[in-house]
Amino acid sequence: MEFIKRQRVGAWVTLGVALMTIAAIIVYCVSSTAAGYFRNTLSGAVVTFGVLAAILLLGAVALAQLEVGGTAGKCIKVAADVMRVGATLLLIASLLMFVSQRVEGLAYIFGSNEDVSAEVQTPENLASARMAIAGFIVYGITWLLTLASTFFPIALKPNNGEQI
Amino acid sequence: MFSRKMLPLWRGLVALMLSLVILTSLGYGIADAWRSTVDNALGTQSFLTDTANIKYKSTYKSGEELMNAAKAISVREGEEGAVVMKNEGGALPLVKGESIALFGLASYAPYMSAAGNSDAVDLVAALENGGFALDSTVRAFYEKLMNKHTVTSTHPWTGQEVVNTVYDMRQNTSAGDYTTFKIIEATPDMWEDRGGAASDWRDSVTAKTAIVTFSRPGGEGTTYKPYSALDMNGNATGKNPLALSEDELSVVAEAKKVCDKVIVLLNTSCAMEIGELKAAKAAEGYGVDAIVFVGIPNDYQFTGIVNVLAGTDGERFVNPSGALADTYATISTSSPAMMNFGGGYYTDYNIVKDFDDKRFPGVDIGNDVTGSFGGSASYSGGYYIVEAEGIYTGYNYYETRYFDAVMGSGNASGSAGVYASPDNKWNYADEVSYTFGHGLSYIPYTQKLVSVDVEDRVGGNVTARIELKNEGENEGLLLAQLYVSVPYTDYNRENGVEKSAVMFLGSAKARVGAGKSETVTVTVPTKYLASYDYTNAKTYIMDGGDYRFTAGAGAHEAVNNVLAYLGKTTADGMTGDGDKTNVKVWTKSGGVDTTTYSHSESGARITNVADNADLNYYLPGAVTDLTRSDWQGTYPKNYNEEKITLADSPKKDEWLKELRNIQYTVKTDSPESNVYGVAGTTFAEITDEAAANIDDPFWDKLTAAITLDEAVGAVAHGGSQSDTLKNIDNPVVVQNDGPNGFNGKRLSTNNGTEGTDPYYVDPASEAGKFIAAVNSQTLLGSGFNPEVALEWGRVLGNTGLYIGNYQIWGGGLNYHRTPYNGRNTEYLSEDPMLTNALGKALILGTSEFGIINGPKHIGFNDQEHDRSGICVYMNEQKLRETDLRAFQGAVEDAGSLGIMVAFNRIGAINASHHVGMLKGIVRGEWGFDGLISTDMMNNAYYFNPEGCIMATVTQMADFMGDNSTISGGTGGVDATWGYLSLPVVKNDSTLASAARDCMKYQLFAFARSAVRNLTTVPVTPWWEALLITAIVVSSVLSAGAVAVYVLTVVKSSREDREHGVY
Repeated sequence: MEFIKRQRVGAWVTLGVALMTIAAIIVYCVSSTAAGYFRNTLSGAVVTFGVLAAILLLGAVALAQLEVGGTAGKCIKVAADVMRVGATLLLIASLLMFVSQRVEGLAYIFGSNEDVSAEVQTPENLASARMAIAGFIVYGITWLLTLASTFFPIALKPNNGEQI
Repeated sequence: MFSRKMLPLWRGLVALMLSLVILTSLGYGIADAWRSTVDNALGTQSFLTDTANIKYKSTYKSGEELMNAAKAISVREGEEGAVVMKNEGGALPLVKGESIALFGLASYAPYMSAAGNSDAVDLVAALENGGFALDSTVRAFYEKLMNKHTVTSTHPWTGQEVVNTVYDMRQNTSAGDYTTFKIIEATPDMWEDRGGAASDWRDSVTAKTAIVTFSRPGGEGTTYKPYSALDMNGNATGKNPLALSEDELSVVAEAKKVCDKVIVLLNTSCAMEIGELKAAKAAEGYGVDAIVFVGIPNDYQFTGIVNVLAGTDGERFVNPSGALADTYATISTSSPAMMNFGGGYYTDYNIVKDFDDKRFPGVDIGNDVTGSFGGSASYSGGYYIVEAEGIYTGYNYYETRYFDAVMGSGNASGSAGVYASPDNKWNYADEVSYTFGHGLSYIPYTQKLVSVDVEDRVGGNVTARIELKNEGENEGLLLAQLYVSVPYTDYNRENGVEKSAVMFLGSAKARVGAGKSETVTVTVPTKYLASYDYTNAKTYIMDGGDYRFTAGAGAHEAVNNVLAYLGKTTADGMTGDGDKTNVKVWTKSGGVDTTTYSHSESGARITNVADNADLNYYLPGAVTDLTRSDWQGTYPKNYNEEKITLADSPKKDEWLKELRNIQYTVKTDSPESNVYGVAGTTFAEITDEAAANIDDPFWDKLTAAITLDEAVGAVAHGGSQSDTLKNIDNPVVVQNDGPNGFNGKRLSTNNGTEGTDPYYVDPASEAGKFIAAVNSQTLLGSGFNPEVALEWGRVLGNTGLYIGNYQIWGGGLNYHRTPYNGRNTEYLSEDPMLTNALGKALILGTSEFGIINGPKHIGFNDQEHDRSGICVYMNEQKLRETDLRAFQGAVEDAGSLGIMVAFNRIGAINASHHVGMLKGIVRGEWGFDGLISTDMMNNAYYFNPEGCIMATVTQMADFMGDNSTISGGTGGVDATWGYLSLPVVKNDSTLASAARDCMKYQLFAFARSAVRNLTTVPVTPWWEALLITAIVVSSVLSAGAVAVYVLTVVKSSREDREHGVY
């Protein structure tokens, strides 16, 4: 109970965005493997960045729970901050890599002229495009929430009430 | 500020600012890669073009002059391209000022290939402008049931408001991708039910003449499917989509009841089945008074078409002089080519993907059809067709079989290929409605072949003089057509060399006064009389014997003249008498000549280059090609029903390799010495001597200056624009696409400074808003007039100078193998020689102004269905004498500076990787040393740079901007083909040399165009400045935020120590 009380809004948001990051990775993987235009476009970098971001977020929350004082405690605090900032950067980089991979295909699907729109806008391709756009949104929201969470502490230290 | 409590704020700001650095930096990377697209969308420019030194000058003094010329040529296309197919009882021309009852949905919303100018003229407007009143009763119910209106939506990308014109009811405007085709037409019951017509509406109609328009759409990515027609309720009718539906015929029947005269307009690029309309007009049945082909008009052609219908443009008599560029068969599927159309899978096509492809580790590459725009990872080699009809497409089939039937040879009257003939005996008159070259004239006239001179040598010409005698009372434009019947010999029969009974050679028009005569000259290279013998001589041959030349109003009249010359009459089964006096004979002495035409004009030895395009190469004896020596016994099978199995081939491994698109493997043991380029020679140093000779040493120096990264990268990423290569400082060359002209480019595009830019056009003026993409390929084809093609080419060239766009894919020159290819809209004719002549004229016109006009898509874009990889099998005679011959005039004879390759395969090989076709025939034999582009690079598993480079392709058409490098991907590898990188290709001196040769071709093409004296200076558009500023500001703020964060941590730690907190 005491543990729960010590958590601040940053903890819950960070845990939430860690889960959202995993969801975003899943959406990306589905987008890259499901039938349709973007099948077989899975990029290891996007997945790796996402996984790393999730690990960093969870790691930051875990580090914030450590009851370590002194210089080591300061280092842990800085490390947690670096991890949270790093996760934010990995997520925005993932989003942009994702967008970069999809721009040409989305232009084909939505930007082709009337002659060919029936040919390009097949149900599978449209579903593929919508999945990509959904992925952008999920990644974008995840990034924004992660960014917002960095403005908030994760937990209070039990010994002096310092926010981490 | 440095209090511990502030730490979350500084941490957040660090995250925010660094995020912005990444966002703006990577965002800038994306925008930079798509620079030309961003510029187009935002109306910005990333480089300034200095045109002061361009030696090519426009012939027009103002944009307004150019606009008027473009409109005038469009109207002329309509006038010269409209084909009066039937004119019973002199129904046409219309009576001046008469009232017209317009029937048919397409009369009010024709299928057009429109540039989008605000003053575009459709049929209704053209008739009204021509002084005709439209019957208000009929018009009212059509307008009500169609309910043309606008719908506003938001553009998914820009968020801008988009206004679209839509209808409650309109005819089908998409042929679809080889699927069912719903024929939508408002039937008479709907006129009352949905159109609100009174039950006695017929009594209100005052018009004596009805015009009924039927359309069939076309366009990119579309292919009709035989027997796929649906009625309006979606029920299959079992009929062909190109046949008139019951609903359409009901409109004709009603129009006949209401009006004295019924004229049907055919708004299509795909020859329709119109036998019902051809029948004599009678009270019963669907026979009409007149039928007029109007093609697929652009913005202004309807004005010319109505001038033809009216017989006047208000000032002078307008005589129809167009002719059908395609045969109208009674049943559109009755040609032997239709036996193998659409395609299907090899029985074991999936064995192609059972392969550990080291180029793409871990990627699941399929072998399925990918769709016209790619998308999924596939070798795209599962589908095939076998073009066993050989050269017998269009009239070459129908007229040759007719000729043989009359001559009693070749089992021509057998049951094979019977679709409309009674008693299961093939009969021309039953099978063909209207032949190629058919077109009626209001003015009675004769065309008489006066003389023929044949220079029997490579580089020689056939020169024919044809007298046009006007026997009417009006001056008007008259059309002359030249045909030849070449000898079909025992040698041909024994060696599978096929000959059409008549071959169109060329045409010309002249304006001839009433009662007067004019003689026109038609000149055609003699090489086109030769035939390709792929089995024995393995080169072009010309047989000894009589070459019978004739002039005639269409292929059928021509063949009848030849038959009459041979002593045949209607008693022998001819459909009518021919004119034996209208035949001139040139006799080539001796037997078969296998040497004279075995070398091209460039001096290259001509021999087989595509044995493996024939399915028999992989599966000996699998295919029997159609021969006129036995129509009955060799009429093609459907080879997609024959179950072709890859594993059955004795050359299975070779076959699979081709289907996996491995035409070249990058070497690992042949280091290239020149990796980083020997800087020193630049594009600006091109001399007149170098610009005239690709063998000038300058070119080796220039291409040696290009880094290997860029030499390969410029080919691999050469679409949309050709980038500046850093060591040679060549100008950026932006490409535009479209047989209609420069798409979407207003004449005020790329304006310089008013007063100094000679091509400045006031953006607010009518000319400034004018888009000159106003050509109609269909009407250019049926115009049969190379002069019009030349003039259109000149307008295209002038437009390029005005808008500063020096490279265009501006000529669709594939032949119409069948009527079922929706892309026929962009192509001219079923006949390679008509296309050849018009294509040559088009390119000559454009080249006068230094514009690189690359015709497309060389190599059998015979259908759009699975265009992205279908295997097209054929023998080499067909390869050379059909589609390639259609391009030969533009490329070899006119010296085009560019060319675009078809998507599909030639045999099992991607056409863009086909060394035999591109390096062997196009460059080797035809002497082409311009630039070559792939079609849209939509599948990295189908196209690859090494295959393209070795086939001398100079640009692969991706759609990104400044990306001529193979080190732009993650880890310094190519962004698309990750197995390629500088460390890899530098170990292959052969590939390196070939890549620099490709750049040589490309830069040489630039040197011979307006691009030579062009300089482009990079400038920073506002969006780029904004992004750079954002990167700098966010970086500075990031540094500040980090500094404040660090200081806060340090200070709070110090405070902790001071307070004894550790």
